Amino acid sequence: MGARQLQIPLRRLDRNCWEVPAHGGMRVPGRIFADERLLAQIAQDAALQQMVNVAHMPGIVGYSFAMPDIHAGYGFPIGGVAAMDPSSDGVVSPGGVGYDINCGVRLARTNIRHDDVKERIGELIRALYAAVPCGLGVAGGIGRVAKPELRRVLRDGAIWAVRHGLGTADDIEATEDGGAAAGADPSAVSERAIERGHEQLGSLGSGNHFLELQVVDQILLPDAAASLGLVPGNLTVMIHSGSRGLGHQVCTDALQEMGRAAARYKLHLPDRQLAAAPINSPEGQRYLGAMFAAANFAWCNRQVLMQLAADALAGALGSSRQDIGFELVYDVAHNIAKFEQHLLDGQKRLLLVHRKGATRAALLDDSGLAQRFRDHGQPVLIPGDMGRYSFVCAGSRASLDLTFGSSCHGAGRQLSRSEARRQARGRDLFGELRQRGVEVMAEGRQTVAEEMPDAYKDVAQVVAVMRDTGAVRPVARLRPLAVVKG
Amino acid sequence: MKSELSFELIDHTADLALRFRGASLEQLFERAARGMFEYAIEDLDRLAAGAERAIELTAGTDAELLVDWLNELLFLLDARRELHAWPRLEHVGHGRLTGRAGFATVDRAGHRLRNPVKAATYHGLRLEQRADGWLAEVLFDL
Repeated sequence: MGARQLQIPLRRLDRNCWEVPAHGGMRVPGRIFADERLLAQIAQDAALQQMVNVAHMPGIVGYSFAMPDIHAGYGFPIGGVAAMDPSSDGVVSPGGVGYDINCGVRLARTNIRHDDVKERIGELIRALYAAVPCGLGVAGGIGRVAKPELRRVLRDGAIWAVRHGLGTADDIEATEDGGAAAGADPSAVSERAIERGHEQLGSLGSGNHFLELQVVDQILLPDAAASLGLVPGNLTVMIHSGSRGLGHQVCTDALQEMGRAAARYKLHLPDRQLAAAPINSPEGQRYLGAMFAAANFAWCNRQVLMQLAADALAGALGSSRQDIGFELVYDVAHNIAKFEQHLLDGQKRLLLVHRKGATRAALLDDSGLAQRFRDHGQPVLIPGDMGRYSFVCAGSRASLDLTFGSSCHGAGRQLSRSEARRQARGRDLFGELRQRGVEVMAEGRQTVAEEMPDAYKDVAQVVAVMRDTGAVRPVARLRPLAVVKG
Repeated sequence: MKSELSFELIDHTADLALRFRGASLEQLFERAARGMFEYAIEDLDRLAAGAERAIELTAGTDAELLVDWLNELLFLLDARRELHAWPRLEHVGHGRLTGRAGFATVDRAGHRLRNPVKAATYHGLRLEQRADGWLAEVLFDL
C-alpha cells in the first residue's frame, strides 16, 4: 500500500505516449498519455501497476489506457479507460466505474459581466453556499423524495427534474446521454441504496466535490466558444458532484455480490477490488441496471443543484434565471461504463467502455449528440484546482482511434491528502486564495487543506498533452472567483 | 500520530489508508470502527452512545468481513445518521461477526463530519496475525 517503486517495462512511442508491452497475465498492452514530467510524477505511486492489473481483465480489448491525470485509486487507477467486448466473455467491473457512479461536471454560462459584480462576489458565493447543501449525509436541497418517486428519478434522470420545474428542455439536450441512461433498472437498486439516497437529491457531497463561480478569461478556439455561448468576462458556474450515498451503496452491493460469484466464473484477478462479472451474467446485468439507475440519480442531482444555483444567483441579483442568461453549456460523466460502438481491427463492435476518472470525448456515431454540438465536437469539461483555472475543450474524432473516444477528467492529484495537510499546516489557505482572487466557503478547513491548489498538478499541462495527441481542442479557459467546497 | 488514537495513517495519493491493531480479532474490529470515526468525526470524544443495535454479518473471509463491517457502519451513518463508534463485539472469526454497536445520532447539519469517509475498499487489504496480535490495513474512498 502507498508509494511503490515497481519495475514496469515502458517503451516510448512518441513525445506524449508510452506503452507497457503485454507481459505476464496481461491480455492487452498498457498505454499512457503523458509527457516526461507528468510520467515522472505518475510513476511515484501505484497508478501504473493498477493500469497493468486492469489489462488482466477478461474481454479487455485494445489497450488498458492511462490518461495524463492518472493517479492511484483502488483497483482501477483514477484516469483509467478500459473497453470490454461482451461477445468474448468481457466483464463489467464496479471498480472500473468507482463508488461515486456518474461523478461528473456540469458548466452553466450566464450573461453576468464580471466587471459589473466585482465587488459583490462575496455576497454571491454566500447566496450559493446557503442554497446548495454540502457535506456527507446532508439532506438535499429539495428535501426528502418519497421512495416510489425516487424509483422514477432512477428511471428518468435529469428529465425527472425538468418535469418538476427544475430546469428546461435545453438543459436535457446539453446533458450527456440526455441526462437519462438507457438500460437503467430501478428494481436492481437495493432498498439500502434507496434509503441512502432518498434524502440526498440536490446535495453536493464532500471530498473533491465543489461548486465554483468562474469568469471566462481566455478564448482559445473562437468559433467553438461562440457556439457554446462562452463570452470573455462573463460569469460561469461549474458543479462537480455525483450519485452521493446511493451510488456508493450500489457499488458496495455489487462488489460483495461479485466477490462471492468470482469463483463460479473462474475469475482470478490480481486485486479483490477489481471484482467483476461477465457482462452477460445475471450479476453483470444486475449491476449494469443498477449502475445506469445510479447514473440517472447523479444527472438528476446535478440538474437540481444547477437549478438551486441559478435561483440563488438570480435571487441575489434581484433577477430571474432567464434574465441572467443562465444556461447549461454541457454536463459530462467521468465515472461510468457505457455501451458504445467502436472500430476494432476495422470492424464496428459494441464495447462496454469503463471510464474511471475519464471523460467521453467523441462518439463513433454522433446521433447520441445534440445537433448543435456536432460541428465542433462534444464539449469536454476539465476542471483544475481551485486556485488556477479550468478548461472547456471540444472532443475530436481522433480520440476514437487513440482512446476509444476518451479524454482526461481533471488535473490529477500530486500530493496525498496527508501530505497536503502537512504542507498546509500553519498556513492561512483562505487568505492565500483570497489574495489570488478566490473566495472559499467550506464545511471543513481540513477539506480545503486536502484540496488546496498545490495538491494538484497544473491542469494546463495535462490538457496540453491531450491537445497534442489530438484527442481534444481547448476552447476556453475559466478562472475561479469563488468556490463552495463540500 | 498520537498514541491514544485507534489508527495509524498510511500515505496514499488520492484516498485514505489506515492501519489498525488489536490483541484479538474482536478488539481489532472494534478499534477499526473506532479509528475510522476518530479520523472522520470532529470532537468524537464529546459524543457518547445513547442507544445500541445488534449487528451480525457474514463474509467469505475475515479480511472481507472487516471491509463489510466498516461499510455497514458507514451505511448506518449515511442513511440513518447513526454513528456507531462504540461497538462491543462478542465474536469475530471464520467469516462471521456478532455483537452490539452503541451509537450516537449525529445532528442533521452534519457539522461534526470533518473529514468524511465514504467507503472501505478491498484494495491492498491486509489482515494478519502476528506475534503481538492482529494487524489490518484498509484503504478508504473519500
